[in-house]
Amino acid sequence: MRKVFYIAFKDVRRTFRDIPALATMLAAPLIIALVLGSAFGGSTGFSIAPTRVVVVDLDAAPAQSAGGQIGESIVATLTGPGLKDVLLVEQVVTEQEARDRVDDGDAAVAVIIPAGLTAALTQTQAASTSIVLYRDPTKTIGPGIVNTVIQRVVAQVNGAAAAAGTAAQLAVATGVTDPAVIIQLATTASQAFVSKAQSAPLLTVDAREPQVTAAEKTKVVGVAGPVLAGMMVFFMFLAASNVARSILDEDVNGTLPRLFTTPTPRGVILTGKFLSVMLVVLIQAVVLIVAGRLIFGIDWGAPAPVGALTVGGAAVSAGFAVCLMSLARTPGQAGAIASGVFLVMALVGGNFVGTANVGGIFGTVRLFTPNGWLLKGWDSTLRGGSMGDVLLPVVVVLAFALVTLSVGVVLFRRRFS
Amino acid sequence: MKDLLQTRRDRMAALFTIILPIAFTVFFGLLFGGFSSGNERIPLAVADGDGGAVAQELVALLKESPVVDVRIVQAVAVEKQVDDEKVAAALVIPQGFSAAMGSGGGAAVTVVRVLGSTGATSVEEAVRAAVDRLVAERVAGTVAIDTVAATTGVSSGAAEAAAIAGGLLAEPVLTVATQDSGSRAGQIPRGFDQASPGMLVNWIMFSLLTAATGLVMERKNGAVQRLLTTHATRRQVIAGKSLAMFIITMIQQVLLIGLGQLVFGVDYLRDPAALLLTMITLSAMASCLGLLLATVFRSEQAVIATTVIVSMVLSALGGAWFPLEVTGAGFARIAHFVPTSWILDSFRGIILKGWGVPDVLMPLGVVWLFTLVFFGVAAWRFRFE
Amino acid sequence: MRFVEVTGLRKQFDPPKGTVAVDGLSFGIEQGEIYSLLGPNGAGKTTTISILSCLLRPTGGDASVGGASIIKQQAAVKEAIGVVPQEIALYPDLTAQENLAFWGKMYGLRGSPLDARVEEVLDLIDLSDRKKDRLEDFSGGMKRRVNIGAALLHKPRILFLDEPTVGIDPQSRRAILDGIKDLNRQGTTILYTTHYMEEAQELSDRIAIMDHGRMIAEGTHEELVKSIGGQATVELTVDHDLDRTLATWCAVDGVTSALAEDGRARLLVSDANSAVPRLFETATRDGIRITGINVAEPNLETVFLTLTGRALRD
Repeated sequence: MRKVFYIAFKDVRRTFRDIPALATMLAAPLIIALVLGSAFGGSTGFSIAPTRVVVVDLDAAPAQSAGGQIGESIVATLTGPGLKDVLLVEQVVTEQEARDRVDDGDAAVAVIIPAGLTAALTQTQAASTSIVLYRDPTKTIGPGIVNTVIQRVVAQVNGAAAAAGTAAQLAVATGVTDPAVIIQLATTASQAFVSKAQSAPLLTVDAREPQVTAAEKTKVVGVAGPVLAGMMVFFMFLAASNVARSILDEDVNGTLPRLFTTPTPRGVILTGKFLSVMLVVLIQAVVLIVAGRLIFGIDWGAPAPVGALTVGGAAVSAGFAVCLMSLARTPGQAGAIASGVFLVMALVGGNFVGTANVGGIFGTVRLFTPNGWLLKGWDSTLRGGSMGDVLLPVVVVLAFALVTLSVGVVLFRRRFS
Repeated sequence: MKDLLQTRRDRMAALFTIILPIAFTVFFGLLFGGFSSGNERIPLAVADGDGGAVAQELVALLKESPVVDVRIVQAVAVEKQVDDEKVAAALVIPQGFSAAMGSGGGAAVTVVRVLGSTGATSVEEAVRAAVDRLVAERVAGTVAIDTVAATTGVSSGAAEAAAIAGGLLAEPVLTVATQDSGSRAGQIPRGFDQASPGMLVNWIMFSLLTAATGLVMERKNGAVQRLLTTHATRRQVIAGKSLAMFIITMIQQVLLIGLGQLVFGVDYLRDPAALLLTMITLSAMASCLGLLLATVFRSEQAVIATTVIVSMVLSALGGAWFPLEVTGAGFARIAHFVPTSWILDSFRGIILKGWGVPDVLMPLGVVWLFTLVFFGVAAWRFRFE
Repeated sequence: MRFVEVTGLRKQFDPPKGTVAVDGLSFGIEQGEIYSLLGPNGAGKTTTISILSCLLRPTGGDASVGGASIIKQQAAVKEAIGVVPQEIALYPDLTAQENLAFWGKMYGLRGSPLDARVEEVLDLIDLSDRKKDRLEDFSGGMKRRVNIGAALLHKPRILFLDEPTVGIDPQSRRAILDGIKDLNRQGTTILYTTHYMEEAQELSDRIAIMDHGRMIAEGTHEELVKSIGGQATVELTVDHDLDRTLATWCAVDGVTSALAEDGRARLLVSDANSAVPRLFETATRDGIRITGINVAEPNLETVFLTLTGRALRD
């Protein structure tokens, strides 16, 4: 029995002497997490670069329309203090110039306020008219923000117009016939709408993260946590396959056959190797978790679920690694298979996407991979989940581990019988 | 040539360089295809804890939206549905909502979503739009009644006013029309148009791994030394190896682009000349980078480690994994220090903005600078035991 | 019973059509002797050792080491044997000391007895001053010494050495051969495989010559040489068409066989002193110019050549 540990420790020692392997195991995930973490602007939330916007106001209506020149008010909203950090707005004179700016990549979106807008809207029977947003299709966030802003303004304009129209119709219904009075009522109504909309809103929309536990507060999770969790899981699989590959390497360079000539039973030898895989990956996980805490300030969650996820992750990556290695003939083949399989698993499981959910299919598909389950678990504990919340993921993952390890063991025993 | 033959014979390498990227592209193409704008509605869970008329109206407005697919759920199920990603977001309408709306006192609804989810952002948008509409109807009706009453002394019914306002809002006077620069008439950019070139670059960068490892293995077993004892000069050997990697990556690109174009309708072929230039530039850059990595390190392990890190960082920084827009301002600036971002600019420009050869010359030119540096350093450092 | 008893050993890879590496091998090794298997590459020497080490299962036949069957009592066999494989089967990133300690543990040694024994072996292989250095920093000869040392930790009763001197400098080779003789003097039985005739000759009490999986001759050096009638080898370099020359000389009286090797003529003759003048005569007569000549007394190469018609070094 001791021999199992001698063999395991020998492999662990060799692994930790291999500087490049250490780099892949420890440095790589941390470096990438650092890169990705900084991509998302630090440990909490987003901060994106301001979007460059050009606006051309072709609306030159006389000054006495309802609510002032609508075109001017749109421009004012865009250039207003509330959006100063988010939009970088420049006003140009012609529509062509605005379009050219976007075509040349100098602006993400051009807002084209049509001519005669205010005039069109102050008639009670207005044909509909459009503000054009001319977008750079390679950008999504910037134009999206501008779209939101414009839609708000447009909603207000439409509301004011509806108020005006409703007042007009009500007036007619109550017997008013003088057009001047009707227009006056319409104008007053639309102004009232605008001022009412700007005072206390009738309905507010709050937004929040889902609460996963019974705990009163939900933790604010930074970006670094999920990113490092994703990287950690991916690199654990990779490290496991590296260590497991040593079974094949040793076969090729003769130390494995030599081991078989000693009085050590083959089962002990193989068990020792499997154990070494698990140990290396466990150590790797612990180091990354501690590093995550110290370098990125990640609060991984309660000790019990964190421990369970770590052990589960080590077990399943060891299992997969051993299974894959048992299918390969040569070490070279093994390297290629492992990289390929784990890459696909990682991409499907969402290791690289963080937890941005598109909903539906994607959420289901990732549950076919063990790393998908692990990430689910890490998500949960990062957000304050308890042991109960991670129980299902851990159980599923251990089941994966058991199945793959068994296959690997059977195949190896057969190969080395 | 020999390198190509070796790779063809090694079935595992073939799997990695050809089959996997294809399988992956297909998988993600289908995934993204299902979520392209306008084709499929994003699931939104709605928990109506009020049930009153106004609440129902809000729900009805949401059902009309082309963006969301409304699913009615119980309030207790909301957290889990969002957390499990069964829906992109959930709307919770509290009890007393309709009453509050009716009496003009402030009411509130809650949107539950996961931060950073792109689906949720769109859904939240749609909810706010529906809310705006709901509010506008009421306020328009109310102010119209008040205004008319102030003059005529006759107060019309709230329901009548709301109905009129609603009718007017259903045909709004002002709309927003969006047009995309460089798009052909009727073309709607879809998620996969953005993602496809990103994945392409990702896979090419990953195939650096096989190329670089192969070179190190050869060095280890002396094949390279033997080559050099023939008439080949150092530079010729290097050129030969680069050529092999170049050809392999070009083949990969052709396959993946063909797939994207023919199966998923990503319009790579909008400008074939610009596309070809971009492909050549990408392959050249990747092969020289692979060469560089292989010549800098001795052991297979070191090469693998570095290549993994380099290819992942370059892909991420280049904007292959997520659009650079969502990153902090500083990051987006750094991104243009790596060649991958320029390559992606070129691809996306061609697909989405109809760029032609003159437009891609600048970004590709930058990449060629990188390529020459990689090649130069590799050639200088090429050494063996 | 002899210490090692091999009876009708047979090994076929991928039956029924695969290669037969060992074909009905039978021999025995007395306790305390040095026994060599001599033969060219592919003769089946390594396969034989692999079977005796319990690495491979024989397709037919049986063998016993120290009374224990290699099929049914593998554990006992493994306790008794020390195996030095042909390749350097060690861990390059571990030090010499760490390597030896690991292998010692695999043989069941632990604690201070292990440490002491490791020091002993390091001394034996003359690497005590380099024990903290990693194996990857050693020369080929030094690695081979550690390779041998790893098999000695548990004081085996018999040592299997599979071509332990391939590719190393003469000095290290000398050290290894002397070391083996020392071990033997201290009581270790040795089974040694090689394709170098000089080694077999110098070390062995008895030699078995193998070819294509079979034993074609066995005995002491003297016995083997005598068995072919004491024939000498004459090597000649000629400035002429070699094949025609060989054909001519084959017919010369006293020449048993003639073949071409490395561009030279290699002839087996019953008596060098009488054969050589006759060869020169024939050459002069036919206008063949002899540019070099070497006469070698009968040796194992000659034996192999006689028995198989091929050279030992292939």
